[in-house]
Amino acid sequence: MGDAAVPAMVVEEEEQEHVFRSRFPPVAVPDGVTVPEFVLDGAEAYADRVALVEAAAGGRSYTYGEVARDTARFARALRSVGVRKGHVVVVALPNLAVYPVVSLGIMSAGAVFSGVNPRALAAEIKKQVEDSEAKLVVANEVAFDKVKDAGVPVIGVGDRERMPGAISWDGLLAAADRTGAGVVPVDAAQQSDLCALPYSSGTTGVSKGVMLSHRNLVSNLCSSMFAVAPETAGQVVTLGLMPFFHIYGITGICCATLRHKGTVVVMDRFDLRTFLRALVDHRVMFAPLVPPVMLAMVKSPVADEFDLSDLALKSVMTAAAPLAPDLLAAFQRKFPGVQVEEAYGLTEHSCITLTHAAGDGHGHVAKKSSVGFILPNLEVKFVDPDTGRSLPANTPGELCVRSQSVMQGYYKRKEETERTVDGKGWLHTGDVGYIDGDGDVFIVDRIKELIKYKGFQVAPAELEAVLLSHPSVEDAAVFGVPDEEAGEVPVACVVRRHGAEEGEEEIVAYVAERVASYKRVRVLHIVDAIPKSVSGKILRRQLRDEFIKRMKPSA
Amino acid sequence: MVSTNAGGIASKQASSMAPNPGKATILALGHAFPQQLVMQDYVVDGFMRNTNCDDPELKEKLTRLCKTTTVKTRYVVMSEEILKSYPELAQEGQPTMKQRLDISNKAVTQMATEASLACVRSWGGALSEITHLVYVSSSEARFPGGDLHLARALGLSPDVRRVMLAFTGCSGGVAGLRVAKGLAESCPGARVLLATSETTIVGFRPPSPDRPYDLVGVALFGDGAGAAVVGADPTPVERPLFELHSALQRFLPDTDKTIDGRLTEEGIKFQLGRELPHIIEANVEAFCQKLMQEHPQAADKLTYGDMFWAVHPGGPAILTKMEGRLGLDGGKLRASRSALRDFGNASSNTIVYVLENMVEETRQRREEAAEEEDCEWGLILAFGPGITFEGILARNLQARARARD
Repeated sequence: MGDAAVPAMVVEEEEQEHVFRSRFPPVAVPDGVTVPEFVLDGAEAYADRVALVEAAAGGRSYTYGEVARDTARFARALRSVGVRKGHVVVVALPNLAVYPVVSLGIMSAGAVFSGVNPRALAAEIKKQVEDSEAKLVVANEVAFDKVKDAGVPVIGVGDRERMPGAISWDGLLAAADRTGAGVVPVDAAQQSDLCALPYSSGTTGVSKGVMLSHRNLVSNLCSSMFAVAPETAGQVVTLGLMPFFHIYGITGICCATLRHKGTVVVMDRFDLRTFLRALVDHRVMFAPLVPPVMLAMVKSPVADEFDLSDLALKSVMTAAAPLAPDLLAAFQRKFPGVQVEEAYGLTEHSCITLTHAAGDGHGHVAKKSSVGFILPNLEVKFVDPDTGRSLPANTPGELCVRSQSVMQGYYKRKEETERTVDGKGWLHTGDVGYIDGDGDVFIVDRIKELIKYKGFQVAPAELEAVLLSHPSVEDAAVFGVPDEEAGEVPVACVVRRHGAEEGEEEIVAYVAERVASYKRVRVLHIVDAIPKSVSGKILRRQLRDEFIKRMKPSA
Repeated sequence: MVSTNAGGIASKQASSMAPNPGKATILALGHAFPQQLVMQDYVVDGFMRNTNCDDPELKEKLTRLCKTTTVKTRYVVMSEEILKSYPELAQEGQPTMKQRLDISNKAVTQMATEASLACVRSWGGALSEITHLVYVSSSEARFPGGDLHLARALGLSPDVRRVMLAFTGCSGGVAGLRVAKGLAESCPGARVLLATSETTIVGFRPPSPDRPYDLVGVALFGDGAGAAVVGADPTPVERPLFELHSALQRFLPDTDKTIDGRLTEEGIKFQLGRELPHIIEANVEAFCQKLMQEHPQAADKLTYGDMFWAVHPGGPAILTKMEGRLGLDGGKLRASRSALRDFGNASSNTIVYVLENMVEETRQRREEAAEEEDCEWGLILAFGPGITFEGILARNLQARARARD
């Protein structure tokens, strides 16, 4: 082969690329606007309308006028105390009405919003504060004791008495109201600047800061809201139960709803009565949920205390956790008018990537078990993890996505970034899936969680779905553990439904009847609960580590 | 709308003191602050970090010194952007007077303009009605002076009669009121705009662990601007706040080194004598007595407890020593202590903030129909380099008229 042959080969390879795009036409992404400008665009016309309301009795609410005003006030306050472009502010708040005001204020100041679970351990929060080199922390009573010794000043939202040493939110805003313009102007935020640094869930590997720019989030919102009907502006009521420190909570729920001038009904912790009361009283139309909440809606006797015949609820959405078929069926029997949607997204892609939600009139509803279709402006391909070559439709491979929503990288982790986003801008998700002939995408599993049994790949999610179809199984998790002979064997943890009497062997046999022999569950444990991440993902790695630790002494 | 307004004014005036004809009154007050807010509780940590200093003893000392100022928040012109544009300001021994004045001149005019506009809005009159401008600043030096720059920025008439009081330091605000009072009383119909504006940029020094005492100075002083409209014989739509009855000035012989400021190539360098609070304590009562003699009726009827006290809060020690010497109860200097807490010692501006706090206290008492009565008569006091005492015997015209006989 001469030198001239090299380019020819490249061309040949490119010809073989199997890249899939949305069935819907591209949508325009406005240039030059920051996330707060995009989200609060047109807020003046809705100044007296409620933007955010806490579901709990006596909860705080914000009108659009107040959101716009206090976002600007907080941005000004941050600048007045020296926060500048690129500085990170960690937010350790539960879901509160003020939460989006805090995050939009941070972004508006040109700074970077980094949410953290306020109920995480003090050491975990401190790690994020240190890794992100945060200048400030915003907290309330829930997390104050955990953040007060993190080494940076804390802005306390809420009861001052219970947060001694914190900068009072109200006091700071009032003091900053008095400030004037700078003699040398402050650098304004640009669309290409970073605006968020969420830490990726940590279900795989070390928790890493995901660098997202204003452009990333604006383009993600444009794609995921492509089918939102303009005439419903100001009318949609969304439930804000998913945690706001998670990228889906702050962008998919808060930013999307505020952009469309709807109302977010804010709930901190799940409580069935408060939840149902919120659905009834606030006429919630769209509710992103996790499967256990749907289970409670269907099964709990508490639900009978409410008249649920006249709900405004149009759709619920689950993401990140598979829905058991019998739960889906039971839910649809009880709430026949409610559409159940699934979605797929990842922090590294600024949130939603694939969805069912096309709204009315777009003529496409993705199949039940798929995670949806490709959103406008996105390119998707599936690559063979071993050869790196892209695969045609109906062939499982690692899902890769390319768009303007792909993160700028992992904060201070060049190597991990290069492993995740390749030179051509493809984000390698680590999830195995395929696309069918209709353009619906199916996720098989996490690459890292695939069980390798004597060279065969076993997908934990597939076995979990089988287990969940057993009438006595309430919840299940499957993972692989090392085995001398097979390499790895599938192990299951199962939560039995109340009153169920089936033994471990009976359930193992039930699975064996329904799957290929290499996929059989080899060990099964009855447990009280399955550990999950805040977004509902099963913490398989944790289960596996615990299992191995328990097995060791006897081995 | 018009009738509602008129009704409001009528009812306000019914419950307020009537000003004496021909006497100057403060018709409105205003303020403005620069962009940067300094939270005092975090000064030490920031300082330790910036200087890469982790000496726990020094840190404790600084923490204690910062607390003793009682200042919680201050506003300053200095910002990251300024240090980026003028990195030499953070270096020792650089000739930077020109750069400092460039920043200061611009900043003081900007702040004075904002404070004046806020004041004129509160007054309700028009800028074209301003006949005189008194401008006070110890933070700038140029030809033409800041008075002209301010007049131009506000769009005042070219015929406005200007006066500038430069380098009068902390007593400059009360000196400005004294001059404005003179102008208002000597020119019938005059409406005098007083503006004060100060920044510590000229004296900014990079933090250094070798000079912990520097930080106390830095931790005490703040930047900002103040404004007042002064005029005699208020019209029915004007709402006079204080009557400026008599104004006096006095310097204390042989104390000129106690507050010492020198302009150098590296900026202004201040030294405050540790004996300052003691000198003030030793001399303040005689000065107050002299002011009280100016009371139209028998001055001996006035007691310290009967009066309001609008005192420039140079520092917490000065206030505490005054309270002790004059036997004032803790609430008497509340307006002064609040101003110190919220703005630090903002030099000539501070007296404007103290008076604004008093107006607010009076308003709140009225709103809550509190038992506690406002004092009609009181003293406006400030102390500056010289040592100079400035004082005005004044009346709070918003105080509710006491039921007499």
